[in-house]
Amino acid sequence: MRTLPFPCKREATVARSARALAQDRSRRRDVGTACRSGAAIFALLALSAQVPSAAAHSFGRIYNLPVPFWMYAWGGAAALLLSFLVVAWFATAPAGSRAPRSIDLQHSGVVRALRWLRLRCVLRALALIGLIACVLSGWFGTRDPYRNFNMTFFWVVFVLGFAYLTALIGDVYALLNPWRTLAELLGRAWRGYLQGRVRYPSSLAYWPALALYMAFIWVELFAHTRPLSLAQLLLGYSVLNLVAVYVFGAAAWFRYGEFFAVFLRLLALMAPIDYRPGQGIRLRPPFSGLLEAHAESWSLLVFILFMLSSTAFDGLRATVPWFKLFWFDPTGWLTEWMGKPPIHAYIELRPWYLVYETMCLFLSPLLYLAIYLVFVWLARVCGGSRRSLRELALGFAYSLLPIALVYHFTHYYTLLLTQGLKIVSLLSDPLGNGWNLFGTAGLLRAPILPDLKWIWHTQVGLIVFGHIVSVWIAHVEALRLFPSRRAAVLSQIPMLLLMVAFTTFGLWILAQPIQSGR
Amino acid sequence: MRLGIFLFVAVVLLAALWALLRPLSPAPPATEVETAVPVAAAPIVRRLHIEVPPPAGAPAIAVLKARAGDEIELDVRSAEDDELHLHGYDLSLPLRAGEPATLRFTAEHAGRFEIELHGAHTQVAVLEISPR
Repeated sequence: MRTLPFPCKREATVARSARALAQDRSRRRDVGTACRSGAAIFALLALSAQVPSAAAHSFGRIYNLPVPFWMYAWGGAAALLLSFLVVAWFATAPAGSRAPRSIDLQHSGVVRALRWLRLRCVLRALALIGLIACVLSGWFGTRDPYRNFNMTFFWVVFVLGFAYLTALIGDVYALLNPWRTLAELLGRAWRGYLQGRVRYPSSLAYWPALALYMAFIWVELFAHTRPLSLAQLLLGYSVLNLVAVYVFGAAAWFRYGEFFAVFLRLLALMAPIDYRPGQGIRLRPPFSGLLEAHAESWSLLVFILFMLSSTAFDGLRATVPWFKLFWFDPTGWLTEWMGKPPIHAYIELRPWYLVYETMCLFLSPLLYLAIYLVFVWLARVCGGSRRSLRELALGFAYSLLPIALVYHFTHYYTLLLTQGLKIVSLLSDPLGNGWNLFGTAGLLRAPILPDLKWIWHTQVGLIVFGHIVSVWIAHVEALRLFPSRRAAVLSQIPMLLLMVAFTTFGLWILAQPIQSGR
Repeated sequence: MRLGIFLFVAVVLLAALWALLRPLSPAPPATEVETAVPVAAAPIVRRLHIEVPPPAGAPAIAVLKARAGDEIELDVRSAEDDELHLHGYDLSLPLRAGEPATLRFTAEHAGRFEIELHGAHTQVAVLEISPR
């Protein structure tokens, strides 16, 4: 069922030979020229489309097979039923809510011991060394992405592993952010550098972080980075951060602009450890951090929705239905317009397919925003609230984060096992030229591939779990935002449907057959 | 007390759903790899072929199917010198132009594994191993 017969077999096949590849490239260049006259961004896209298309994949291969249909059905039904159970729980709860308890760890023995070990300095130094190592190994190491240290360290250990760790142990990144360390080192030599030249405009809010995050996801999905290009990107991002600190100052930039800081701070809200550099450390119930603060601007809400929609989009574009939607043209519009089915013009259309996918990616958070606002508006009507739509929309924003986290985790976590663990051997041989610096070069080289049934069960289980946490958080939030218990419970019917929709969509994507060689 | 009741109802609901939806027999989804041989019998040897570049009429990226536990013999013939790499299993096979080569291994892990040429950086096939 996963083999998709190519009607234009000839074209797709011949594209392999060198001659055809050259033709293919020149054709793309033609399309590229056409674009450049149109808009600069399209030209950029067409250029990057010149990468030989058959290797079209981001780093790391996910080996999961689609979740079987019955598990998908079970997950969807379980999400729905348990949601109503949560409603029943809140509808029958005794009045009066207590504030979540927390334990101050500032003076505990463990924290004192860590302080004595100068853990802060060690972590900051390690993070900075990690960044420098990524740049250097990309520049001087092997071109093979699987044997170069920087691809695995950045794309798998940092982007995936560290993000999930942050959701468990809190916002350590606020402490060890290597770009902040870099800026502070520069600030020591250059007085007044960290203060910035202009006040950060409040109207900018988190939009710079969102723009950078979108660019980052685009690079992740479409740019096919290799060790060298990753090193160049990291260097470019470092320069960008240093310039932005010069303009806006370190405090404002690392709060609003540096997108890893924003992304990881949001994930850290779910952690049972609440860590704020300079303000202390405490233990709290998991996920309770989501109730301690509110999204303060539309930009942060769209950022959260993009966390959801970009992951969904990455899953979706690998599936057969998505591939067919464009290439097999079920609506017939493209065929009518072009005079032939799009799949017959596969090679000519590939650059345009990239433009199309890019637009879908960048518009996806707006689609999610529209859906979200409709349901928040319904919640407002059902609950009879006088609060503005903005206030309610921002108030419920954080309750989407558990769904976003489990979405992300279930899509990518097998990469931690198949590729992430290779970091142990790569540490000893970062350039891929046969070194054995720490004597670990031969360790954990054998693949760890858990049984698929186990993976499916954790995927479905975690998605349902994240869904329930989201429904729960939204309920507690509703009790604060709506005047009465009855109003709060009524308001949660639409919110619950929204979350069931997000969850079943995530499950649906996991259950779809995968398209080969997009 | 109330928490206990709710947890109990939740567990009952989930279990009932599971009983309702779970497939009655653990039948494998892939029908074309069905065999009359019972599962307990000796492992099946499955011969698979890859040709680079693919012959006319074949899809650019071949989808090869097998079942977990099979003994796999993957015959590869390439028009140019290269190195074949099976992701996940992390197995490599050096290829000489025009000479057939065979990669033999046991399909211990189920999943979807990409097969690519290291030199040309192109994916040539995908191996789908369905769970037993």
